Amino acid sequence: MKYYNALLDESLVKKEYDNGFQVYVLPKKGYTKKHAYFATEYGALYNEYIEDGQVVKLPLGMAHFLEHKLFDDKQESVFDKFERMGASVNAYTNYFSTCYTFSTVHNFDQSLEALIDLVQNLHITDESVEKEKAVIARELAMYDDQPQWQAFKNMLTGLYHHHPVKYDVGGTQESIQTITRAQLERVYQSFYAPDRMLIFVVGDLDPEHVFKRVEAYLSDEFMSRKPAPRVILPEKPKAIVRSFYQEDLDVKMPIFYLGIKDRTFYDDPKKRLLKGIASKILADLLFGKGSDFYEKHYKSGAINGTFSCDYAYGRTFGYTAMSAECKNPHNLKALIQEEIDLKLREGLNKKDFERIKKKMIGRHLSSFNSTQFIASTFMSYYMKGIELFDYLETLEQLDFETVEERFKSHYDLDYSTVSIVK
Amino acid sequence: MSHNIDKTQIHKRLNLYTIHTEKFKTDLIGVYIKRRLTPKEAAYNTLISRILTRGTKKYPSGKILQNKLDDSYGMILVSDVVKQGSYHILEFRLQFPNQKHLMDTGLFDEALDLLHQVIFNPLADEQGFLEDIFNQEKNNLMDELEGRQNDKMSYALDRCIEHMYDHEGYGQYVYGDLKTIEGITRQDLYDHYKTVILGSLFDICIMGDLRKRPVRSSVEKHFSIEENDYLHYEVEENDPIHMIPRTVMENDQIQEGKMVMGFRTLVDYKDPLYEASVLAYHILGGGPSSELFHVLRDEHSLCYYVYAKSDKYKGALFIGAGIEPKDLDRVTDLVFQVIEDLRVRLVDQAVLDDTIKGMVDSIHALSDFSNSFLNFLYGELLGKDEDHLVDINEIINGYKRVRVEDLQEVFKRLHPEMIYMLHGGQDEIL
Repeated sequence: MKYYNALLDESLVKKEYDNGFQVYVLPKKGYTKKHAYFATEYGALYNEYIEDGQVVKLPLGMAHFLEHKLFDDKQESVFDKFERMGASVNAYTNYFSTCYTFSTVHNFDQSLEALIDLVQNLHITDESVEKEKAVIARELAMYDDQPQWQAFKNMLTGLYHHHPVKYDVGGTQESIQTITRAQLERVYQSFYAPDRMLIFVVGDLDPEHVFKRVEAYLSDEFMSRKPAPRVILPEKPKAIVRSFYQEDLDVKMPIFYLGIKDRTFYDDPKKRLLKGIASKILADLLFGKGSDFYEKHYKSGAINGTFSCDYAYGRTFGYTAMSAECKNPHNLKALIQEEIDLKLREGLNKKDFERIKKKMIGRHLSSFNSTQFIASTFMSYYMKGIELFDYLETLEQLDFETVEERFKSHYDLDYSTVSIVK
Repeated sequence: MSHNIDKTQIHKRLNLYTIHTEKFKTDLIGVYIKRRLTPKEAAYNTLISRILTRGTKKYPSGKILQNKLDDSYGMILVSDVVKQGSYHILEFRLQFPNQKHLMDTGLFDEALDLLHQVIFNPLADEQGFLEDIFNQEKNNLMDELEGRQNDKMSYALDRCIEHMYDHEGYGQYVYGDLKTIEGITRQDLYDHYKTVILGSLFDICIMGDLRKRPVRSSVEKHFSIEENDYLHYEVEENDPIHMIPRTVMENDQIQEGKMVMGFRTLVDYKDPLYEASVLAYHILGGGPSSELFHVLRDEHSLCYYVYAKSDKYKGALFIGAGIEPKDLDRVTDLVFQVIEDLRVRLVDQAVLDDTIKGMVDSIHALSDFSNSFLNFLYGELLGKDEDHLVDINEIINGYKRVRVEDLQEVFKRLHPEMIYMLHGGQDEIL
């Protein structure tokens, strides 16, 4: 199947197999680098599932641990193998997915074969699992030393009671210690299954060629794996945990986060996307660099250039987050409340809405400069059930009234939490 | 590389570089102003770069300027300073969709005009930049300097550089130091701004689909600058080498220690061994196939990350890793052992061949990223002769000529000067 978008002047070609496996190619003429992603829709949020009628619960950080273990050396180091071909290989785990990727200028077919080989096989030993715990423990400690990260995590903890979005993707120092080889092997068999996986390729390539190569490299064993078990999605309670939390880390410049918890959820991915775009427009319109709030409080010294506001979401969670590094973070919430009240009284300005919409169209167009950005955007939307070109279409359709309604329903600070790191 | 880089000297202190390419959705304009890195320049130029985006005579507030950028299909304006060796560069970049995608044909000229307004027509009165803007940006910059400790990894690297080059301009932090910033008055700053505007070399680089566009006449029309003399800078000499590496331990509230080792290499980009040095450092600590990654992470599980980062203008190498403070001696010993080993044995020809291939690919791949390409291009132009032209093939051939013996020679020239450690315990200087 081929999709085309006229404004972007780009096309996307998709092939779907009977077992649910999907391959997408976005041909990009004139580009030197080619990127391939092999991903499973299995990420840090999915720690409970039903298999053979039983509920299986996993320690936090499982998906990320497994990502590390896929790289276990076979005959030679995976990194060396790719480097020998002139390619660089990488992987990442987020809430929704685990992605294995390489980029290369030459030897695309060979690198693709190596990537597929890497992902469709798991060879681990008890010893290598134990050894990995030390490396991951270091990685978690590294994040914990970033006060920004700490402040953000404390905000999430203030918003969510049990939802796993509040934990580090890598799990906790305690949870990773409990992970066993048997668990890793079982999870691998369950979630590295064709119906939960896909390959995305972007670069100066012929889609038909890519499909043929993928088919040649995927093993029969992989293609015949049974469907992945049903994941138990985390709950979506509306109430927050606490409205304020402060941690003392002796930072030179205090860090402020305010999160507003989303209480509206849609099963339809298109509605979810519409909500997502409306929320991002609101974040910019109310608190972005071109907003009344920003101008007023930058001048008064209450905020500085570090102030930002954005919206993030998945199927079962969503939040608007504002952050700043500033000397007096304690009065920021009151200023934010004041601004929300003012806009509720006076109403939003349609011209601002149109300006930001125009900006978002231009920015989205510009983002197609970068093959890597295309790939990461594709992945993040795919994992939310949205096709790449849906974005512009939805953005163009979005009207002012929808944004106004979203403003009234979402911006309620009774559902917010403040996190300060001093 | 298919790009044609054309150079036009519009007059003696304004050079125009154009790179025509049809593959991007956007055009990109970069304006670079070259200055000498000193404590004063670092502080003053940084403050200027912040003030200039707070509004212009034509767009007289930060909000109005930002709304203009938004309304022009989300133009992205970057105003910053960077440190390259002993130079301090003021840079302005503006990226915007190419008009072939939009029904808006005036965007290119508008962009040039906008950059010109930002750089040359700031909000000012007889006493200098407007007082409230000056004070806000000065305070914000001081706050930012106080807050830079929040990013531990880059803070550790910066501190290593500051200690290692404590008697040279290069040791200067890119955004200046608190004491100098504190002493700036708005009249001083405005005088300095005038000096920069009237007495520096301007390089303007434009990349995008420039078909049928009279770029030169657009630049002359919308981006005119006075034709004055400008200051030429000599590259700063290196201080004599310290014979014994110094160790500095600094304390921070931190779980994982950040170690940075500083080496003088004395192989800068003018050295015949320059290309060999880039490859050598990559083999040593450039990513997960590197020697250091194998030894420190794979074999000994001592760290999650380890990197080797060099400064081509200065002839310096920094090796950084996140480690447990108690492992410091073990880690530094292992690093020295790895280097010693590379001084004694020759790197495998196959490893060198792969590294060269990787380097050639990454130079080609630069053309996929307009911002990186422009910065790379300007980096190549820096300090070279006025009429030097960047030839990508010549650069690539330089890498292809490197032999394993050259790598060995680079490793022999690595001289450790500094072991810096940011950790959770007490301060001590050994």
